[in-house]
Amino acid sequence: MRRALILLALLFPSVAVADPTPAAGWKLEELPLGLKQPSGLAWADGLIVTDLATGRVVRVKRDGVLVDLTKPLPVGIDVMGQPTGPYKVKVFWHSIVVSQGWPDANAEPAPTDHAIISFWNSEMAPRITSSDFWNPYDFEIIERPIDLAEVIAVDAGKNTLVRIEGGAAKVIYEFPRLKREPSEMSALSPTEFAEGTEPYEVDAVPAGLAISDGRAWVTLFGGFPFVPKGGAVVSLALEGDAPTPRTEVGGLDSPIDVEFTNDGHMLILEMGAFDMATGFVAGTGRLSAVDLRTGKPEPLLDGLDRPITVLAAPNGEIYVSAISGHVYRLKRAQ
Amino acid sequence: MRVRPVLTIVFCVCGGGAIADQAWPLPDNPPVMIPGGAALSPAGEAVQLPTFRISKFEISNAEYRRFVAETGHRPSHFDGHAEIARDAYPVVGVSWDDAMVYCRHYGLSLPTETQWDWMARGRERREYAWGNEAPGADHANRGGMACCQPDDSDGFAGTAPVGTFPKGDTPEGVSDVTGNVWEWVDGWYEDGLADNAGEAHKFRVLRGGAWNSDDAHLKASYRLGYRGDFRYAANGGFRCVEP
Repeated sequence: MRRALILLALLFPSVAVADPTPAAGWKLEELPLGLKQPSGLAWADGLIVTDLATGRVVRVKRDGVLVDLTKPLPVGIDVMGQPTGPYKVKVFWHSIVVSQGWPDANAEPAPTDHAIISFWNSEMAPRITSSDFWNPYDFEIIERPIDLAEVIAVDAGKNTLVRIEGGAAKVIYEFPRLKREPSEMSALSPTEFAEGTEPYEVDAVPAGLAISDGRAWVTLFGGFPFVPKGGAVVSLALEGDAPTPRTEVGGLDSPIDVEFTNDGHMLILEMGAFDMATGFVAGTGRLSAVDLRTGKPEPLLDGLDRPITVLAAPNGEIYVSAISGHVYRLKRAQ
Repeated sequence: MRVRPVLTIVFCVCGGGAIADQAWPLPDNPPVMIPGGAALSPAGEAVQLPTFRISKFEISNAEYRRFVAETGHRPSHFDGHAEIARDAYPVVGVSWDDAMVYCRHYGLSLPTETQWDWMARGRERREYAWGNEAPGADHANRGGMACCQPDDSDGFAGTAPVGTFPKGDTPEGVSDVTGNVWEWVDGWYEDGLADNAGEAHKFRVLRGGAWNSDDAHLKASYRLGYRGDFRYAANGGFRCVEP
Protein backbone atom coordinates (compact mmCIF):
# COMPACT_ATOMS: atom_id res chain seq x y z
CA MET A 1 0.00 0.00 0.00
CA ARG A 2 1.50 3.28 -0.88
CA ARG A 3 1.07 6.80 -2.08
CA ALA A 4 -1.55 7.29 0.59
CA LEU A 5 -0.76 10.94 0.57
CA ILE A 6 -1.41 11.94 -3.00
CA LEU A 7 1.37 14.03 -4.20
CA LEU A 8 0.44 16.30 -6.99
CA ALA A 9 2.86 19.03 -7.14
CA LEU A 10 5.32 21.43 -8.54
CA LEU A 11 7.00 24.71 -8.14
CA PHE A 12 6.99 27.87 -6.21
CA PRO A 13 10.45 28.07 -4.71
CA SER A 14 11.83 31.54 -4.99
CA VAL A 15 15.43 31.46 -3.97
CA ALA A 16 17.93 33.98 -5.19
CA VAL A 17 20.14 32.27 -7.71
CA ALA A 18 23.02 33.21 -9.94
CA ASP A 19 22.47 33.82 -13.63
CA PRO A 20 22.43 30.78 -15.88
CA THR A 21 25.73 29.82 -17.39
CA PRO A 22 26.09 29.11 -21.12
CA ALA A 23 28.53 26.56 -22.49
CA ALA A 24 31.75 27.71 -24.04
CA GLY A 25 31.17 29.12 -27.51
CA TRP A 26 27.73 30.44 -26.66
CA LYS A 27 26.59 33.88 -25.61
CA LEU A 28 23.58 34.35 -23.33
CA GLU A 29 21.26 37.35 -23.19
CA GLU A 30 18.10 37.88 -21.18
CA LEU A 31 15.23 39.62 -22.95
CA PRO A 32 13.67 42.24 -20.62
CA LEU A 33 10.07 41.48 -21.54
CA GLY A 34 8.49 42.04 -18.14
CA LEU A 35 6.39 38.88 -18.34
CA LYS A 36 5.86 37.20 -14.98
CA GLN A 37 5.55 33.59 -16.10
CA PRO A 38 6.60 33.29 -19.74
CA SER A 39 5.81 29.87 -21.13
CA GLY A 40 5.13 29.12 -24.82
CA LEU A 41 7.53 30.28 -27.50
CA ALA A 42 7.12 30.47 -31.28
CA TRP A 43 8.81 32.19 -34.16
CA ALA A 44 7.15 34.05 -37.03
CA ASP A 45 9.39 36.86 -38.21
CA GLY A 46 10.09 37.47 -34.56
CA LEU A 47 9.47 35.96 -31.18
CA ILE A 48 6.00 35.14 -29.85
CA VAL A 49 5.57 34.43 -26.14
CA THR A 50 2.71 33.36 -23.87
CA ASP A 51 2.44 34.34 -20.22
CA LEU A 52 0.83 32.02 -17.68
CA ALA A 53 0.47 34.82 -15.15
CA THR A 54 -1.63 37.12 -17.31
CA GLY A 55 -2.88 34.91 -20.15
CA ARG A 56 -1.27 37.19 -22.71
CA VAL A 57 -0.02 35.99 -26.09
CA VAL A 58 2.37 38.61 -27.40
CA ARG A 59 4.71 39.33 -30.28
CA VAL A 60 8.02 40.90 -29.36
CA LYS A 61 8.76 43.74 -31.76
CA ARG A 62 12.33 44.57 -32.67
CA ASP A 63 12.29 47.50 -30.30
CA GLY A 64 11.18 45.19 -27.48
CA VAL A 65 7.62 46.46 -27.38
CA LEU A 66 5.02 43.73 -26.80
CA VAL A 67 2.00 43.53 -29.09
CA ASP A 68 -0.94 41.43 -27.97
CA LEU A 69 -2.00 38.85 -30.55
CA THR A 70 -5.11 37.70 -28.68
CA LYS A 71 -7.26 38.87 -25.86
CA PRO A 72 -5.90 37.61 -22.53
CA LEU A 73 -6.73 33.95 -22.02
CA PRO A 74 -7.87 32.38 -18.75
CA VAL A 75 -5.17 31.36 -16.29
CA GLY A 76 -5.24 29.27 -13.15
CA ILE A 77 -3.51 26.49 -11.27
CA ASP A 78 -3.39 22.99 -12.64
CA VAL A 79 -3.84 19.70 -10.84
CA MET A 80 -0.17 19.72 -9.91
CA GLY A 81 -0.21 23.20 -8.51
CA GLN A 82 1.54 24.55 -11.58
CA PRO A 83 0.36 27.70 -13.34
CA THR A 84 -1.90 26.92 -16.23
CA GLY A 85 -3.25 28.93 -19.14
CA PRO A 86 -1.77 29.43 -22.61
CA TYR A 87 0.94 26.77 -22.32
CA LYS A 88 2.29 26.67 -25.86
CA VAL A 89 1.87 28.65 -29.04
CA LYS A 90 2.45 27.93 -32.73
CA VAL A 91 1.93 29.93 -35.88
CA PHE A 92 0.24 28.16 -38.78
CA TRP A 93 -0.23 30.28 -41.87
CA HIS A 94 -1.83 33.38 -40.43
CA SER A 95 -3.31 31.75 -37.38
CA ILE A 96 -2.07 31.82 -33.81
CA VAL A 97 -2.66 28.38 -32.29
CA VAL A 98 -2.52 27.92 -28.50
CA SER A 99 -2.77 24.97 -26.16
CA GLN A 100 -4.84 26.21 -23.27
CA GLY A 101 -5.09 24.81 -19.74
CA TRP A 102 -7.59 25.39 -16.99
CA PRO A 103 -9.10 28.61 -15.64
CA ASP A 104 -8.89 29.95 -12.12
CA ALA A 105 -10.88 28.61 -9.17
CA ASN A 106 -14.57 29.53 -9.19
CA ALA A 107 -14.41 30.56 -12.88
CA GLU A 108 -17.31 29.61 -15.11
CA PRO A 109 -16.46 26.78 -17.54
CA ALA A 110 -15.61 28.03 -21.01
CA PRO A 111 -15.20 26.33 -24.40
CA THR A 112 -11.54 27.31 -24.39
CA ASP A 113 -10.80 25.34 -21.21
CA HIS A 114 -8.30 22.48 -21.70
CA ALA A 115 -8.39 22.98 -25.46
CA ILE A 116 -6.29 23.70 -28.50
CA ILE A 117 -7.61 26.93 -29.95
CA SER A 118 -6.72 29.23 -32.84
CA PHE A 119 -7.09 32.90 -33.63
CA TRP A 120 -7.13 34.79 -36.90
CA ASN A 121 -6.55 38.07 -35.15
CA SER A 122 -6.76 39.66 -31.73
CA GLU A 123 -10.35 40.81 -32.12
CA MET A 124 -11.97 37.56 -33.14
CA ALA A 125 -13.24 34.84 -30.86
CA PRO A 126 -11.08 31.74 -30.83
CA ARG A 127 -11.86 28.72 -32.94
CA ILE A 128 -11.83 25.48 -30.96
CA THR A 129 -9.70 22.86 -32.66
CA SER A 130 -10.40 20.36 -29.89
CA SER A 131 -11.22 20.39 -26.20
CA ASP A 132 -11.10 16.62 -25.91
CA PHE A 133 -8.32 16.78 -23.30
CA TRP A 134 -7.62 16.83 -19.63
CA ASN A 135 -4.42 18.79 -20.01
CA PRO A 136 -3.24 19.55 -23.57
CA TYR A 137 0.23 20.58 -22.63
CA ASP A 138 2.05 20.62 -25.96
CA PHE A 139 1.25 20.10 -29.61
CA GLU A 140 2.68 20.21 -33.10
CA ILE A 141 1.09 21.00 -36.44
CA ILE A 142 2.14 18.91 -39.41
CA GLU A 143 1.47 20.42 -42.79
CA ARG A 144 -0.17 17.98 -45.18
CA PRO A 145 -0.64 18.50 -48.92
CA ILE A 146 -4.28 17.44 -48.99
CA ASP A 147 -5.57 17.73 -45.46
CA LEU A 148 -3.75 21.01 -44.98
CA ALA A 149 -2.74 20.23 -41.44
CA GLU A 150 -2.65 17.54 -38.81
CA VAL A 151 -2.46 18.31 -35.12
CA ILE A 152 -0.54 15.96 -32.83
CA ALA A 153 -0.70 16.66 -29.11
CA VAL A 154 0.22 15.29 -25.72
CA ASP A 155 -2.35 15.13 -22.95
CA ALA A 156 -0.33 15.35 -19.76
CA GLY A 157 -3.42 14.48 -17.73
CA LYS A 158 -4.42 11.37 -19.62
CA ASN A 159 -0.82 10.38 -20.32
CA THR A 160 -1.50 10.07 -24.02
CA LEU A 161 -0.17 11.08 -27.40
CA VAL A 162 -3.11 11.94 -29.62
CA ARG A 163 -4.04 12.95 -33.15
CA ILE A 164 -6.89 15.44 -33.59
CA GLU A 165 -9.53 14.14 -35.99
CA GLY A 166 -12.75 16.08 -36.43
CA GLY A 167 -12.35 17.71 -33.03
CA ALA A 168 -11.77 14.42 -31.23
CA ALA A 169 -8.48 13.34 -29.70
CA LYS A 170 -7.67 9.91 -31.12
CA VAL A 171 -5.16 8.10 -28.99
CA ILE A 172 -1.96 7.14 -30.78
CA TYR A 173 -0.35 5.83 -27.63
CA GLU A 174 -1.09 5.77 -23.92
CA PHE A 175 2.09 5.89 -21.89
CA PRO A 176 2.20 3.28 -19.12
CA ARG A 177 3.01 4.20 -15.58
CA LEU A 178 6.66 4.28 -14.57
CA LYS A 179 8.11 2.15 -11.81
CA ARG A 180 9.98 3.71 -8.91
CA GLU A 181 11.91 2.10 -6.09
CA PRO A 182 10.67 2.75 -2.54
CA SER A 183 14.21 3.58 -1.48
CA GLU A 184 13.96 6.73 -3.57
CA MET A 185 11.17 7.98 -1.32
CA SER A 186 11.77 6.58 2.12
CA ALA A 187 13.00 9.96 3.36
CA LEU A 188 9.52 11.35 2.71
CA SER A 189 7.39 8.77 4.43
CA PRO A 190 8.37 5.71 6.44
CA THR A 191 4.90 4.21 6.17
CA GLU A 192 4.26 4.59 2.46
CA PHE A 193 7.72 4.04 1.06
CA ALA A 194 9.28 1.50 3.36
CA GLU A 195 12.57 -0.02 2.32
CA GLY A 196 12.35 -3.49 0.89
CA THR A 197 8.79 -3.31 -0.35
CA GLU A 198 7.71 -3.64 -3.95
CA PRO A 199 8.23 -0.80 -6.47
CA TYR A 200 5.48 1.73 -6.81
CA GLU A 201 4.27 3.45 -9.93
CA VAL A 202 3.87 7.03 -11.05
CA ASP A 203 2.24 8.57 -14.10
CA ALA A 204 4.54 9.02 -17.09
CA VAL A 205 3.28 12.60 -17.62
CA PRO A 206 4.19 13.31 -21.25
CA ALA A 207 5.10 16.98 -21.48
CA GLY A 208 7.21 18.33 -24.34
CA LEU A 209 6.58 17.24 -27.92
CA ALA A 210 8.51 17.56 -31.18
CA ILE A 211 7.98 15.91 -34.55
CA SER A 212 10.98 14.83 -36.59
CA ASP A 213 11.67 12.16 -39.16
CA GLY A 214 8.13 10.79 -39.01
CA ARG A 215 8.34 10.24 -35.28
CA ALA A 216 6.93 11.95 -32.24
CA TRP A 217 9.58 12.80 -29.65
CA VAL A 218 8.13 13.15 -26.18
CA THR A 219 9.59 14.08 -22.83
CA LEU A 220 8.35 11.89 -20.01
CA PHE A 221 8.40 14.23 -17.05
CA GLY A 222 7.30 11.52 -14.63
CA GLY A 223 4.78 12.06 -11.85
CA PHE A 224 5.56 12.82 -8.26
CA PRO A 225 8.05 12.25 -6.56
CA PHE A 226 10.18 13.58 -9.43
CA VAL A 227 13.08 11.42 -8.39
CA PRO A 228 16.56 12.39 -9.58
CA LYS A 229 17.28 11.21 -13.11
CA GLY A 230 13.78 9.74 -13.38
CA GLY A 231 12.74 11.32 -16.69
CA ALA A 232 13.40 10.42 -20.32
CA VAL A 233 12.89 11.38 -23.94
CA VAL A 234 11.21 8.68 -25.99
CA SER A 235 10.21 8.57 -29.63
CA LEU A 236 7.58 6.61 -31.50
CA ALA A 237 6.50 6.33 -35.10
CA LEU A 238 3.43 8.31 -36.04
CA GLU A 239 2.31 5.78 -38.62
CA GLY A 240 1.51 2.14 -38.03
CA ASP A 241 -0.96 0.26 -35.89
CA ALA A 242 1.04 -0.43 -32.77
CA PRO A 243 3.67 2.20 -32.11
CA THR A 244 6.36 1.19 -29.67
CA PRO A 245 8.21 3.92 -27.80
CA ARG A 246 11.96 3.90 -28.04
CA THR A 247 13.93 5.49 -25.22
CA GLU A 248 16.27 8.04 -26.77
CA VAL A 249 17.74 9.65 -23.68
CA GLY A 250 17.16 8.56 -20.09
CA GLY A 251 18.36 9.75 -16.71
CA LEU A 252 16.89 13.24 -17.01
CA ASP A 253 15.73 15.56 -14.23
CA SER A 254 12.08 16.34 -15.00
CA PRO A 255 12.44 16.91 -18.77
CA ILE A 256 9.85 19.47 -19.78
CA ASP A 257 10.53 20.15 -23.47
CA VAL A 258 12.26 18.83 -26.56
CA GLU A 259 13.10 20.61 -29.81
CA PHE A 260 15.13 20.03 -32.96
CA THR A 261 17.60 22.36 -34.59
CA ASN A 262 18.29 22.61 -38.28
CA ASP A 263 21.80 21.25 -37.82
CA GLY A 264 20.82 17.83 -36.53
CA HIS A 265 20.70 18.39 -32.80
CA MET A 266 17.96 17.55 -30.36
CA LEU A 267 17.56 20.08 -27.57
CA ILE A 268 16.34 18.79 -24.20
CA LEU A 269 15.15 21.12 -21.48
CA GLU A 270 15.09 19.82 -17.90
CA MET A 271 13.16 21.63 -15.19
CA GLY A 272 15.71 20.41 -12.66
CA ALA A 273 15.90 18.87 -9.21
CA PHE A 274 12.94 18.62 -6.86
CA ASP A 275 13.09 19.22 -3.12
CA MET A 276 10.34 17.78 -0.94
CA ALA A 277 10.06 20.94 1.15
CA THR A 278 10.53 23.69 -1.40
CA GLY A 279 9.62 22.26 -4.81
CA PHE A 280 11.81 22.61 -7.86
CA VAL A 281 15.17 23.98 -6.90
CA ALA A 282 16.16 27.26 -8.50
CA GLY A 283 19.35 27.01 -10.52
CA THR A 284 19.14 23.30 -11.30
CA GLY A 285 17.36 23.49 -14.66
CA ARG A 286 19.44 22.89 -17.75
CA LEU A 287 19.42 22.84 -21.53
CA SER A 288 21.35 20.16 -23.36
CA ALA A 289 21.99 19.37 -27.00
CA VAL A 290 22.18 15.81 -28.28
CA ASP A 291 23.96 15.16 -31.56
CA LEU A 292 21.63 12.66 -33.22
CA ARG A 293 24.49 11.20 -35.21
CA THR A 294 26.46 10.28 -32.09
CA GLY A 295 23.80 10.28 -29.38
CA LYS A 296 26.12 12.32 -27.21
CA PRO A 297 24.48 14.97 -24.99
CA GLU A 298 26.29 18.20 -24.24
CA PRO A 299 25.20 20.93 -21.85
CA LEU A 300 24.35 24.27 -23.45
CA LEU A 301 22.95 26.20 -20.53
CA ASP A 302 23.07 25.42 -16.81
CA GLY A 303 21.63 27.07 -13.73
CA LEU A 304 18.10 27.75 -14.93
CA ASP A 305 15.20 28.38 -12.57
CA ARG A 306 12.16 26.38 -13.67
CA PRO A 307 12.64 26.53 -17.44
CA ILE A 308 9.61 25.43 -19.41
CA THR A 309 10.01 25.87 -23.19
CA VAL A 310 12.89 25.79 -25.66
CA LEU A 311 12.64 27.15 -29.19
CA ALA A 312 15.16 26.78 -32.01
CA ALA A 313 14.66 29.81 -34.23
CA PRO A 314 15.33 29.56 -37.97
CA ASN A 315 18.28 31.95 -37.64
CA GLY A 316 20.13 29.55 -35.33
CA GLU A 317 19.31 31.36 -32.12
CA ILE A 318 17.88 29.35 -29.24
CA TYR A 319 15.28 30.78 -26.87
CA VAL A 320 14.40 29.46 -23.44
CA SER A 321 11.51 30.59 -21.27
CA ALA A 322 11.36 30.04 -17.53
CA ILE A 323 8.26 30.51 -15.41
CA SER A 324 10.45 32.17 -12.84
CA GLY A 325 10.03 35.20 -15.12
CA HIS A 326 12.80 34.96 -17.69
CA VAL A 327 13.22 34.64 -21.44
CA TYR A 328 16.77 33.94 -22.60
CA ARG A 329 18.43 34.01 -26.02
CA LEU A 330 21.44 31.86 -26.79
CA LYS A 331 23.64 32.75 -29.74
CA ARG A 332 26.82 31.31 -31.06
CA ALA A 333 29.64 33.50 -29.82
CA GLN A 334 31.33 35.26 -32.73
CA MET B 1 -3.97 3.37 36.24
CA ARG B 2 -7.55 2.15 36.46
CA VAL B 3 -10.35 4.53 35.61
CA ARG B 4 -13.93 3.99 36.65
CA PRO B 5 -16.15 4.72 33.66
CA VAL B 6 -19.02 6.11 35.67
CA LEU B 7 -16.81 8.76 37.18
CA THR B 8 -15.45 9.61 33.81
CA ILE B 9 -18.89 10.20 32.40
CA VAL B 10 -19.88 12.46 35.27
CA PHE B 11 -16.66 14.38 34.94
CA CYS B 12 -17.18 14.83 31.25
CA VAL B 13 -20.66 16.22 31.59
CA CYS B 14 -19.63 18.75 34.21
CA GLY B 15 -16.49 19.80 32.43
CA GLY B 16 -18.24 19.99 29.12
CA GLY B 17 -20.75 22.51 30.32
CA ALA B 18 -18.04 24.91 31.33
CA ILE B 19 -16.19 24.54 28.02
CA ALA B 20 -19.35 24.90 25.99
CA ASP B 21 -19.87 28.40 27.35
CA GLN B 22 -16.55 29.67 26.07
CA ALA B 23 -16.20 31.58 22.81
CA TRP B 24 -15.01 29.75 19.74
CA PRO B 25 -12.96 31.63 17.13
CA LEU B 26 -14.01 29.87 13.91
CA PRO B 27 -17.42 31.30 13.01
CA ASP B 28 -18.18 28.91 10.16
CA ASN B 29 -16.77 25.84 11.83
CA PRO B 30 -18.55 25.18 15.12
CA PRO B 31 -16.88 23.31 17.94
CA VAL B 32 -17.84 19.81 18.90
CA MET B 33 -17.28 18.88 22.52
CA ILE B 34 -15.52 15.60 23.04
CA PRO B 35 -16.00 14.24 26.54
CA GLY B 36 -12.74 13.25 28.13
CA GLY B 37 -11.89 9.82 29.35
CA ALA B 38 -9.34 7.08 29.60
CA ALA B 39 -7.55 7.31 26.27
CA LEU B 40 -4.45 5.71 24.88
CA SER B 41 -1.39 7.55 23.65
CA PRO B 42 0.10 6.59 20.27
CA ALA B 43 2.51 4.37 22.18
CA GLY B 44 -0.38 2.61 23.91
CA GLU B 45 0.01 4.22 27.32
CA ALA B 46 -3.09 5.09 29.34
CA VAL B 47 -3.85 8.80 29.39
CA GLN B 48 -6.63 10.54 31.29
CA LEU B 49 -7.78 12.97 28.64
CA PRO B 50 -9.75 16.08 29.68
CA THR B 51 -12.81 17.16 27.77
CA PHE B 52 -11.92 19.26 24.76
CA ARG B 53 -13.52 20.97 21.77
CA ILE B 54 -12.58 20.35 18.18
CA SER B 55 -13.72 21.94 14.93
CA LYS B 56 -16.63 20.07 13.44
CA PHE B 57 -15.19 20.34 9.93
CA GLU B 58 -11.80 20.14 8.33
CA ILE B 59 -10.52 23.67 7.75
CA SER B 60 -11.90 24.90 4.43
CA ASN B 61 -10.25 26.88 1.66
CA ALA B 62 -12.41 29.88 2.55
CA GLU B 63 -11.23 29.73 6.15
CA TYR B 64 -7.62 29.33 5.13
CA ARG B 65 -7.80 32.23 2.67
CA ARG B 66 -9.21 34.42 5.45
CA PHE B 67 -6.23 33.46 7.60
CA VAL B 68 -3.83 34.27 4.75
CA ALA B 69 -5.45 37.66 4.31
CA GLU B 70 -5.21 38.37 8.04
CA THR B 71 -1.62 37.27 8.49
CA GLY B 72 0.19 37.36 5.16
CA HIS B 73 1.03 33.69 5.62
CA ARG B 74 1.76 31.83 2.38
CA PRO B 75 -1.33 30.47 0.58
CA SER B 76 -1.91 26.76 0.22
CA HIS B 77 0.03 25.19 -2.62
CA PHE B 78 -3.20 24.61 -4.54
CA ASP B 79 -4.73 28.03 -3.95
CA GLY B 80 -6.44 29.02 -7.18
CA HIS B 81 -6.99 25.50 -8.45
CA ALA B 82 -10.24 25.31 -10.37
CA GLU B 83 -11.69 22.48 -8.31
CA ILE B 84 -9.93 21.65 -5.11
CA ALA B 85 -9.42 25.29 -4.07
CA ARG B 86 -13.15 26.05 -4.03
CA ASP B 87 -14.34 27.79 -0.89
CA ALA B 88 -16.31 24.99 0.74
CA TYR B 89 -13.70 22.31 0.12
CA PRO B 90 -11.05 21.37 2.67
CA VAL B 91 -7.76 23.17 2.29
CA VAL B 92 -4.93 20.94 1.08
CA GLY B 93 -1.36 21.65 0.07
CA VAL B 94 -0.30 22.78 3.55
CA SER B 95 2.61 21.64 5.67
CA TRP B 96 2.38 20.66 9.32
CA ASP B 97 3.77 24.07 10.25
CA ASP B 98 1.24 25.86 8.04
CA ALA B 99 -1.52 23.96 9.81
CA MET B 100 -0.22 24.64 13.30
CA VAL B 101 0.32 28.34 12.59
CA TYR B 102 -3.25 28.55 11.34
CA CYS B 103 -4.66 27.00 14.50
CA ARG B 104 -2.48 29.09 16.81
CA HIS B 105 -3.53 32.27 15.04
CA TYR B 106 -7.01 31.60 16.41
CA GLY B 107 -5.81 30.54 19.84
CA LEU B 108 -6.23 26.87 18.94
CA SER B 109 -3.87 24.01 18.16
CA LEU B 110 -3.63 20.92 16.07
CA PRO B 111 -5.12 18.04 18.03
CA THR B 112 -2.59 15.86 19.73
CA GLU B 113 -2.52 12.40 18.28
CA THR B 114 -4.13 11.13 21.46
CA GLN B 115 -6.95 13.67 21.18
CA TRP B 116 -7.49 12.85 17.52
CA ASP B 117 -7.55 9.12 18.20
CA TRP B 118 -9.99 9.54 21.08
CA MET B 119 -12.24 11.78 19.01
CA ALA B 120 -12.23 9.37 16.06
CA ARG B 121 -12.46 6.04 17.89
CA GLY B 122 -14.01 6.81 21.23
CA ARG B 123 -13.77 4.59 24.26
CA GLU B 124 -15.07 1.66 22.21
CA ARG B 125 -12.07 1.93 19.85
CA ARG B 126 -14.18 2.11 16.70
CA GLU B 127 -12.61 1.08 13.42
CA TYR B 128 -14.06 4.08 11.60
CA ALA B 129 -15.50 7.36 12.79
CA TRP B 130 -19.09 6.06 12.76
CA GLY B 131 -18.45 2.59 14.06
CA ASN B 132 -17.16 -0.71 12.79
CA GLU B 133 -19.34 -0.97 9.69
CA ALA B 134 -17.22 -1.02 6.54
CA PRO B 135 -17.21 2.29 4.66
CA GLY B 136 -20.08 2.67 2.23
CA ALA B 137 -20.55 5.29 -0.45
CA ASP B 138 -22.60 7.44 1.92
CA HIS B 139 -20.19 7.22 4.85
CA ALA B 140 -17.21 9.05 3.51
CA ASN B 141 -15.41 10.51 0.54
CA ARG B 142 -13.11 7.60 -0.05
CA GLY B 143 -10.93 6.00 -2.70
CA GLY B 144 -11.12 2.77 -4.60
CA MET B 145 -10.79 -0.66 -3.12
CA ALA B 146 -7.13 -0.82 -4.08
CA CYS B 147 -4.67 1.73 -2.81
CA CYS B 148 -4.41 4.57 -3.69
CA GLN B 149 -6.59 5.62 -6.54
CA PRO B 150 -9.47 8.09 -6.67
CA ASP B 151 -12.98 6.75 -6.88
CA ASP B 152 -16.11 8.70 -7.72
CA SER B 153 -18.70 6.13 -6.66
CA ASP B 154 -19.31 8.34 -3.62
CA GLY B 155 -19.86 11.30 -5.93
CA PHE B 156 -16.38 12.78 -5.69
CA ALA B 157 -13.21 11.79 -7.49
CA GLY B 158 -11.22 14.29 -5.43
CA THR B 159 -11.99 16.34 -2.33
CA ALA B 160 -15.61 17.03 -1.37
CA PRO B 161 -17.14 20.04 0.38
CA VAL B 162 -16.72 19.67 4.13
CA GLY B 163 -19.71 18.06 5.82
CA THR B 164 -20.99 16.26 2.73
CA PHE B 165 -21.24 12.87 4.46
CA PRO B 166 -23.17 13.33 7.74
CA LYS B 167 -23.81 9.60 8.01
CA GLY B 168 -20.10 9.23 8.62
CA ASP B 169 -19.96 11.65 11.54
CA THR B 170 -18.64 10.50 14.88
CA PRO B 171 -21.28 9.96 17.58
CA GLU B 172 -20.43 13.43 18.90
CA GLY B 173 -20.93 14.95 15.43
CA VAL B 174 -17.44 15.54 14.04
CA SER B 175 -17.55 15.38 10.24
CA ASP B 176 -15.23 13.84 7.65
CA VAL B 177 -12.99 12.24 10.24
CA THR B 178 -12.82 9.23 7.96
CA GLY B 179 -11.91 10.17 4.40
CA ASN B 180 -11.95 13.41 2.41
CA VAL B 181 -8.45 14.54 3.49
CA TRP B 182 -5.78 13.23 5.80
CA GLU B 183 -5.43 15.38 8.91
CA TRP B 184 -2.16 16.58 10.41
CA VAL B 185 -1.97 15.97 14.17
CA ASP B 186 0.40 17.24 16.84
CA GLY B 187 2.87 14.49 17.49
CA TRP B 188 5.78 12.56 16.07
CA TYR B 189 5.50 9.36 14.12
CA GLU B 190 8.41 7.79 15.96
CA ASP B 191 6.70 8.28 19.33
CA GLY B 192 3.95 5.90 18.31
CA LEU B 193 6.14 3.02 17.26
CA ALA B 194 5.90 -0.08 19.36
CA ASP B 195 9.65 -0.15 19.70
CA ASN B 196 11.01 3.21 18.72
CA ALA B 197 14.42 2.42 20.20
CA GLY B 198 14.96 6.10 20.85
CA GLU B 199 14.55 7.02 17.21
CA ALA B 200 15.03 10.68 16.42
CA HIS B 201 11.98 12.70 15.46
CA LYS B 202 11.83 12.99 11.69
CA PHE B 203 8.24 12.44 10.67
CA ARG B 204 4.91 13.94 11.61
CA VAL B 205 1.62 12.05 11.55
CA LEU B 206 -1.59 12.29 9.55
CA ARG B 207 -4.72 10.37 10.39
CA GLY B 208 -8.12 9.49 8.96
CA GLY B 209 -7.54 8.65 5.30
CA ALA B 210 -8.61 10.64 2.28
CA TRP B 211 -10.54 10.69 -0.95
CA ASN B 212 -8.10 8.21 -2.51
CA SER B 213 -7.79 5.83 0.45
CA ASP B 214 -8.78 2.19 0.54
CA ASP B 215 -10.38 0.59 3.60
CA ALA B 216 -7.08 -0.14 5.29
CA HIS B 217 -5.91 3.46 5.05
CA LEU B 218 -9.33 4.72 6.11
CA LYS B 219 -9.16 2.91 9.42
CA ALA B 220 -9.04 5.38 12.29
CA SER B 221 -6.09 3.55 13.77
CA TYR B 222 -3.89 3.96 10.70
CA ARG B 223 -0.93 6.27 11.27
CA LEU B 224 0.53 7.89 8.18
CA GLY B 225 4.04 9.18 8.74
CA TYR B 226 5.30 12.03 6.58
CA ARG B 227 7.85 14.79 6.59
CA GLY B 228 6.20 17.74 8.27
CA ASP B 229 7.55 20.26 5.79
CA PHE B 230 5.90 18.53 2.86
CA ARG B 231 3.16 20.73 1.40
CA TYR B 232 2.55 19.29 -2.04
CA ALA B 233 -0.19 16.82 -1.20
CA ALA B 234 -3.64 17.29 -2.68
CA ASN B 235 -5.18 15.19 0.06
CA GLY B 236 -3.61 16.47 3.26
CA GLY B 237 -5.45 19.00 5.47
CA PHE B 238 -6.27 19.51 9.14
CA ARG B 239 -8.70 20.65 11.80
CA CYS B 240 -8.12 22.53 15.05
CA VAL B 241 -8.71 21.84 18.69
CA GLU B 242 -8.96 24.02 21.74
CA PRO B 243 -5.71 23.37 23.59
